[in-house]
Amino acid sequence: MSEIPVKIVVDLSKPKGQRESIIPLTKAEIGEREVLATEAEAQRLVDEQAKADAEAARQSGLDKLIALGLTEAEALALVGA
Amino acid sequence: MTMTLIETITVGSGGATSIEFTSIPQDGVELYAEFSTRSNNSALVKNIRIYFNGQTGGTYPTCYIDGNGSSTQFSNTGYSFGGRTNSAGSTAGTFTSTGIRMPNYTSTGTHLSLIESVAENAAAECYLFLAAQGLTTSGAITSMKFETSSADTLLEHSSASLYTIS
Repeated sequence: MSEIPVKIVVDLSKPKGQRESIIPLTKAEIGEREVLATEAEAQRLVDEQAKADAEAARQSGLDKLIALGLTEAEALALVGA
Repeated sequence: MTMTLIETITVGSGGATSIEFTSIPQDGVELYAEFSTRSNNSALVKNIRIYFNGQTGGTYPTCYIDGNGSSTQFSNTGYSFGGRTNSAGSTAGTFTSTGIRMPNYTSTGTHLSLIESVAENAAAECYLFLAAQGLTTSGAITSMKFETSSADTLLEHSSASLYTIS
């Protein structure tokens, strides 16, 4: 691995054989990648938490229906499998 | 319909954080890119991102289905999420296959891409990612960038091919 990360840029306006450049990342680019990754990961965690919350609410509702006397099959038929 | 290979790039021994095609020819109707990738992250698979026209951040409404062989999730995000890439924790020599298709890439307005990505590990686990990713720009698509998550590197022999369809 290179000590300094590099990127490959392919300029398609140039003739074949002259298009590829291997360019070391600047400090700003390295910092930007880290910020973007942090933001994306934070968003992913928010999305997953929202899904977990929805699943917990669904299960809670299912449990209450069963507690009212419905069979699990009947409760699932109401809320969806 | 004619599919024209514009360029294929293979990552060399030093690895690379990203592969970017710039000055994309504007003579096609659709744009299609294939990426065969593996990263140096110690995990089995890691996320990747796909950017167009240099736009980053939360400007990519993305709706996806993501399955790993035992569970599936359906979700959406504002950030570019181009699926996953096999990484150093998976079977040696295994590379993810990712395809990206964008119709009407020379038009202005909202561009919608179809992204398919599959990864595999030791014939025991598989990952399937399917996404619709939007992007609103003021012009045609002129560049496409495929990159790993932070601090990761695409390993040697990873490759990218860009095609136009007309």
